[in-house]
Amino acid sequence: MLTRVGKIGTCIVFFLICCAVLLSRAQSKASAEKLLGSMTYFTGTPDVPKLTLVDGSRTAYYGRLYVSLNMEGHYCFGDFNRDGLKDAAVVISENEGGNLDDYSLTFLINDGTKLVHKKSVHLDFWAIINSVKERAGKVAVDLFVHQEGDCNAGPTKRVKKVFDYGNLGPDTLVPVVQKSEWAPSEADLRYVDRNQEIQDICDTGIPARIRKTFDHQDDAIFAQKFMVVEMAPIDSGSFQAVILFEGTPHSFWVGFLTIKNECVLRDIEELPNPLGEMFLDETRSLAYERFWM
Amino acid sequence: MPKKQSNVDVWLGRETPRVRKALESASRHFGSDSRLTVHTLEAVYGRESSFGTMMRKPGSSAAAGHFHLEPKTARRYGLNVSKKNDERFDINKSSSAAARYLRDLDKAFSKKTTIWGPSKTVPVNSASERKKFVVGAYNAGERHIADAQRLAQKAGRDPRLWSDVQKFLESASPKKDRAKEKAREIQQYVEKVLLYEIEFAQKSPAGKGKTAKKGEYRCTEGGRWVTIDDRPVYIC
Repeated sequence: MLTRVGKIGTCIVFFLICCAVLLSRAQSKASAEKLLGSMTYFTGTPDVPKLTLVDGSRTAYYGRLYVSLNMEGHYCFGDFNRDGLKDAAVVISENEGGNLDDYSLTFLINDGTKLVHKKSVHLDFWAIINSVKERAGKVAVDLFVHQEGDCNAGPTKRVKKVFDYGNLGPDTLVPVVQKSEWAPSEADLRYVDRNQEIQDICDTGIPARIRKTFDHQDDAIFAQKFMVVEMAPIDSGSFQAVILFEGTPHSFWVGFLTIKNECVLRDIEELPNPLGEMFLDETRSLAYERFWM
Repeated sequence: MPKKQSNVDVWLGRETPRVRKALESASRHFGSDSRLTVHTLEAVYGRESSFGTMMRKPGSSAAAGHFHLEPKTARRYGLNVSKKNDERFDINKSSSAAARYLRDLDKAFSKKTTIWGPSKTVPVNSASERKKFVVGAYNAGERHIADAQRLAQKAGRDPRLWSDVQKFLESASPKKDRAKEKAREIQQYVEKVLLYEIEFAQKSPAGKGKTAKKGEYRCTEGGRWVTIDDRPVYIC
């Protein structure tokens, strides 16, 4: 009997150790992704020379153009420049228009206090990455690249490439900081993906509840379609929002109380400055059609 | 020995009535003054995702779905892009968005359009020639193609001829380290899509009943023989 209890106990202890190991790995993976997904990467284009990622992704819009960087979760750590400090190698995809996604391996070198993007190597356009591993101070990338007859989304040639930071070859990107003559100024750049932000607001269901509240108001303006462009909680249950009514450049600040899952309009006032022309144009485009309530 | 099937033959084998209907319906977005047809859409569809067999992950922040659209482009045409609901994977919606994107690129290259700063398109009056610029811009973005036009013009070449402009794709690339690969990719993309389009026009039942516009699939200038999928093909 005791032996049986002992065996069960051993199994439980073994199971708990496995869980602890898996949990700690998941935690370290999450913290690594958080770190690498908030780093500053050079883009290689002089228009927007560098971008700091937010949650592994960032897009800088300027006029009708943009530069977009994405980290899709393939990376490894190791001492790649042989200085005794832990560096990182991360796969980043970059897009500057059209659908040409350029996948590259970026080296983030530890300068003693932080990781700094020093060099990149081109992997392929629309590459499919299987794994990125550290091997004796080098980076081994297992990936699919394109061969004759492949469609853009589906490369089929499996290759294993090994990259030595000290000997990266001629197609290495060494970041250049200076901007081109026509590079957008900081004022020209917009980093927020407004469409996604408004989608997130709609997903809360609050705009639909505001619509119901407005339907019970007498003033004619409340009968107009509106879009919630910003939203923030005030205190328990209450929230404030910036609302744009259709056909007007002026936005309104509105405060709501939430009582028994019902929105109660508390305050409304017109904001002094109209929204930017560029953003107003966006809200009139098809991409924003679904957000008008 | 059985004859090797061409890519277009393979893709036509995957073109279900539903897909064909979606492509035909989407091609109605093309204006009568462009040379974009349902076969252009079929060619892009084949080249991008092999007729929906390779589409990548829903919600991806890179290009994905039937027409391999970027999330930003897809949203611009009213598609939802999220992990739960990615309409780039809906053939009706993605083909409509791709057709409208091609139509808008056609408009951008049919009149002088400012892209950014000195990047302006040079209008290409010949609709069949313009199609090469449109397909190139679908792949690399309108800015890259407009910049190559500007450099061609500066060098005394004709910015309205793709054969002249494609030589400047490398110098127009903002990323100097991989400009050669990018230029080669764009050139191959345009060449292949237009070849596939010709083959679709001959073999595809899509758009049946519609007759090709005069000179639609004929060279307006000297062509040449190339080997595509192990077959000799004459291209414009």
